[in-house]
Amino acid sequence: MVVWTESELSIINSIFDSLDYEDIGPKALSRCLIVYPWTQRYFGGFGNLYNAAAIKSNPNIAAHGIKILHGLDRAVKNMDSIKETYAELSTLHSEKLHVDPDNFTLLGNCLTIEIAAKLGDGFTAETQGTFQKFLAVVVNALGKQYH
Amino acid sequence: MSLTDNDIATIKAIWPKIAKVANEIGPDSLARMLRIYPQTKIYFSHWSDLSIDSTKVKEHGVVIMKGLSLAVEKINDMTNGLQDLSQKHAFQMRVDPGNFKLLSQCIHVVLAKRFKAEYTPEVHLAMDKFLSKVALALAEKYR
Repeated sequence: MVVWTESELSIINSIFDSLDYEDIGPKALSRCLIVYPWTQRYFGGFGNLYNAAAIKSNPNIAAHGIKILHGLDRAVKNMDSIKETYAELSTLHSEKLHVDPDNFTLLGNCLTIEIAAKLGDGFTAETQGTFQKFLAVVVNALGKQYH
Repeated sequence: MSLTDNDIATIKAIWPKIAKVANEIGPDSLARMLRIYPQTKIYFSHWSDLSIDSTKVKEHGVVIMKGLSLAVEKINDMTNGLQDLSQKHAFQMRVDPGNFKLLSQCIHVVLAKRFKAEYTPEVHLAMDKFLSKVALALAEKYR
């Protein structure tokens, strides 16, 4: 079972408290689609993804980015039972969406970079380490129902 | 994956700004990698202090940035341009090539926190392609 120190819990909550999900969600998802273009294959029905400008202004992508942040919020509200909280989402991603789990890490990397850009020097090595631990747990939970 | 003319132009445009603060970017990236991916500490087990305050980490962070500046200089032929560094990484240091990605992620984070809105997805993409090519050039002599 994942063990969180008081400090780690505080850091994670503080990061998410500082985020505007409507801003950072779209930015993180569109960054992922631009930097790792093969991830676009999962968004075939989302409209124009022709170039970076199209991706950044695509309202379906923006809406989905916000959805993702709210999904992460569920983990933040259930830090001691992330695996259980994500059981259904894991089945959805594996059985229906067929997302290669490596891509979860890529999206996580992009979210980390957006948060670094937002927090600047406040995104210390300790903060980054804690956030990446959180993302690793999330990615692991999302991959749980794959087999 | 090759670097387009646009990628090269993007890297060459931002690199002078990065080089100006290389002494900040390098050590910060290296220290983060060591802290966040502890398996990478094995390559530095001969140093007693692996924190951000360590003189060795600071010096080596600067060395890494100098290597990246060389890669920018030789951007059109990194395989030949980085031969010596490739020999070192392959035969002397025996760095598992999977680790280059870990350092790259830390470099992206440090550049994003420094340059904020300027570190657009387009710049991030060019930098990620560039760092991937550096990693490939460094692994050239591996086998």
